[in-house]
Formats: sequence, structure tokens, C-alpha cells
Amino acid sequence: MTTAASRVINDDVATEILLRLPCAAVLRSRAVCKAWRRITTSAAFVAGHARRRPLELILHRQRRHGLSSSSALETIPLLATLDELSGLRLRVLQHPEHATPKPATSAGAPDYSVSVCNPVTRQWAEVHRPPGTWVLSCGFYAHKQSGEHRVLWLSNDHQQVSHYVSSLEAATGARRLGPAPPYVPLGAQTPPHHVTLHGVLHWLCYPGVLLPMDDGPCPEPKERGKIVAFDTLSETFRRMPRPPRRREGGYCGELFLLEVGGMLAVADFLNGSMDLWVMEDYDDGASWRRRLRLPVDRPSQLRRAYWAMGAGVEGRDVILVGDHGRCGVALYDVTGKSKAVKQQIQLGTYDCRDRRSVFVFRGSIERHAFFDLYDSQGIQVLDQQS
Amino acid sequence: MASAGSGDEKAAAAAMITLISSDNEKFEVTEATATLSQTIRHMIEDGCTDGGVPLPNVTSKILARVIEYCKKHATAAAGEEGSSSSFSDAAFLEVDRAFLEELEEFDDAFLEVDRATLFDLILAANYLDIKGLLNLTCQKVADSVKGKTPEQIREMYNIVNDLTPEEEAEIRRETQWAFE
Repeated sequence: MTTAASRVINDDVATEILLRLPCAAVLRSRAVCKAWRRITTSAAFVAGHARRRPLELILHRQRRHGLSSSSALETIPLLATLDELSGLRLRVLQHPEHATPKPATSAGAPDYSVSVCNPVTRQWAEVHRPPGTWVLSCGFYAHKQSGEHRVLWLSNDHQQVSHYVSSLEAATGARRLGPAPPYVPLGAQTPPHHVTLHGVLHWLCYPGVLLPMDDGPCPEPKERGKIVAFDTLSETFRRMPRPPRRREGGYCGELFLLEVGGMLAVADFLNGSMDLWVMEDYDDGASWRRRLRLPVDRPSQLRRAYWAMGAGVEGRDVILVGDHGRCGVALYDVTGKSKAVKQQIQLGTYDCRDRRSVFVFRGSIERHAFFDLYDSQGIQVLDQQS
Repeated sequence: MASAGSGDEKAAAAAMITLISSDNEKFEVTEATATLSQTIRHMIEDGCTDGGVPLPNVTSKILARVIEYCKKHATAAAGEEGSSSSFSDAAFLEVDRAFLEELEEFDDAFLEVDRATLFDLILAANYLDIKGLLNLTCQKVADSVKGKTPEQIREMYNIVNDLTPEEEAEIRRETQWAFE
């Protein structure tokens, strides 16, 4: 039997088995023997392994205690059932002290630092910001042509607001794209949510700045409320139409931009139901079609949606909807036969001192060299019973 | 897409294929069962299954188990295709769920084998290119490996450590947190 076992673990079989291991177990398996190290360090394996990773929900929680603050990342397997969740040990990743977001400066201007974290390798780095006293990160993306990880910024360098692009891999600092004068006062703002599709970043709500094609002191009325798109290759902006917002009895629907089945989509929540619009022909850029309306009032913890995102789970179209105050999350199946709530996750209890952000994440054992460029220390890992 | 080929599939369901194990035992199976194996599917498409399909890498003991798996999952695949046209029907959903549960129980019971048999099944699934079976069996091994240290894995699977102490120390240093 022992000889049989070592005989059958040929490279093919070993690859098939190792592909199904969680990230940490793959990294440990490299210390088993030369063959396993060779298999698990090949680029094809690393890419194939990443594709197989389950989606996880990452909860970034920042708690403020007077002047000091502490923050943590918690990861939750997205497809864990409620039964599994009740006994689950959440992984909590604590920021290193140097990377904790700084409190607002005395001048009252927001001055949040931006950190990038790989929850798998537990690396954490503070991103170099463009010059300016008011700086907002608008988007984070992988630049296809160069393979670089880039950040799009708005910053008020020398009395003028401008767009900047910086690369995590290049330590050369941010590159100025051009002026983006505000037409409304830009106060404290949280980074706007964006959806990346076909190498283009899309925002449903973009800070009130003029884009290069705007002529005059503010955008034309018909241009307002449109989706703002930034092509990461040509580094140009444009605006795209969005579906109409629902109105019923004096109430307006809440809109969220997401990706569903490889298409740009908008979810419109109003009075316990959700309309899902998809842009079927992206190149046309105007063909919004309402695909379905489904009730969303079933999850007891979810009174209204605060955010929504497309989460391609197991090849099906699933929408993840979150409620900020009640910290509930629900997964809606939008293609299956039932078109209903698949699963609900409770993200802990509400605490008004917390600021929470939720991300959907797929693990990868790829080592990002840019972390070595920064003064990145390992992050502290705590275990916490959920 | 599914409806275009349904006529052919019905005709094919009746056709039988003979599989011949390495120890010359013959197994008669339906084409629907046999074509869960991509390897056999290609042989059928190429028309080289007359007189039986010799499988020199698979013993009769393992082939019997593989066929058991394929029979069960071929019915599952047929059931799924049949119900996909009738959407949002509560009765259908109920049937689906019961069937999926049954299939899960079958898979669990199917994996109750010793380690040598499990590896033989992986080899057979790999050779016959049966995706579901390969996934099931490899996941079982992966689950047994994932919480173990390199030493424990080597001992479990009788793997010789051919890394030099320096190489091993470097691997551990690179991702120290994974070993804690």
C-alpha cells in the first residue's frame, strides 16, 4: 500500500490534488518535496489555483476610540451555509500600526491614507499618494497592458483639483492626468464605488468635478446623473446613460451599480422589490433592459439595501446585498429557478462607532512584488469566534 | 442547444458499450453512462468502440466502482436536462432538492474506501477523464492533507523528502505565517 501510494502520486495526480487545497496549505505543501514545490510554484498552477478559490466576503471594520482607531479585516467564505457560519472562526487581520488610517487633520480636511492588503499573504502597504491636502482615491484596478496595479485619484494640488494615476509597482509617484475643477464643494468624501468591466471603471455617483468634455461652469443638465466611465487604456473619461430611477408614492428607488453575468447592471431597490437592469450591448452603451423584478423583503435582517454587488458564484448570477445598519448580507439568485434569497449572513452586531466596508475577494498565492517596495510589515492575525 | 441534440441522445440512450478491464472482465453499460468519460466519448465519436473498449490501466475492481459512479451520475444529468425547461415550479424544485441530497449521500458513501482504492480511483478518473469523479476523489485527498504539516503529509503518503535542509528552511522563511 505504501509503495502503491507513492507510485500513484505522479505529477498529474499531485497537481489535481494540490489545486484543491486552500492557500496556506498550498504554501506548506512546497516544503513536502521537490516535485510539489515545482508544481505549486509554476505560473500555470498559481493562476489555476486562484480561479478555483471560493469567493470570500471581506469585512473591513474600523473602530474609533476617541482619537485612536483600530481596524481589522475579517474574511467569511461566501458560500458557507448558515449552519457552518455559526461555528466558524473568522479570520481577523489587524492593521500594522503604521498603516492605520490617520484621523482628520486639524484643518478639518479629510486626509485618509490608502492601504492595499493581500489577505492571503498578509502583506499590507500604504499607497503613495499624489501631492495635495485633499486627496480622494476614486478607483483601484489592474492595468492590462503593463500588468501594474494602479490607483486613480482626485487631488487638490496647487489650488486646483486634478486627476492623478499612480502605480503600485512604480515608485515614481503619481502622474497628473489633467484638471478636474469641482462644480460643487468637495467636502469629506468616502471613495466612490466602482465597477470594472472591459478595462473601464464605472461609477454611478462620481464626485462633482468637471470632466474634460464639459464646457462651462457645470455639466449640461442632461449629463447629470449619468454613469461616469474611465477607460484605463486610453485614460479618457466619458458619460453613459443609466436606467430610469423608479418612483412610487413620493419615494425614489435606490440605485446600485454592479456586474452581473459579465454585463454592466443596475439594481433599483424600492418598497421591498428590486429591479435589475442590464446593459446587453456594451459597445452600444445605451441599451438598458430591465431583466427582472424580484422581492427583496424576505430576509428578516435586511430592511433596505445599502449596497449591492454582483458576485459571480459558481457560474450563476448572484447579487450580494448588504444593509449597513443591521450588518446583514443576503445573496440573491437572479438566474436560478427560484430567483430568491439563497443565503443570509449576519456580519456581527451594529456599533455606531464602527465604519465598515465590505469586499468580495478570491484568494491567490501569487506574490505581488510591489509589497516589497513599501515598508510593509506582516499584519497581525487574531482568531475570533464569530 | 440542448433541444437540438435531444433526438440523437434518446437514440443513443439505448445503445450499449462494452468496457474491458485490464484483467479482461467485460462490462456492458449504456452509452449515456459511458460518455461521462470524455475519453470514451471521443472513442465513440471516432467510431472505434466496436468489439469493446479495452482499458488496460483499469482493473475490474476499480472499473466496477467507476461504472457505479457513472450510472448514478448519468441519471442525475438526464434528470437535470429534463427539468431545465420547466422553471419556477415548486414541485420540480422539491424533486430536484431530494435528488441532489440523494446524490450527495451516494457520493459520501462512495468515498468510504481505503487509501489505495482512492488513489486507483483518481488514476482511473484522470485516465478516463471523468470530471465529477476526479473532483470528488481529489477533494477527498485534499481534505485529508489541508490541515497537516509537511512531515505529516510525507508520512501519510510515504513521500521522500528530497529537499535540502537549506531549501526547506528557505521555503518556510518565505511564507512563515503559513507554517504557524
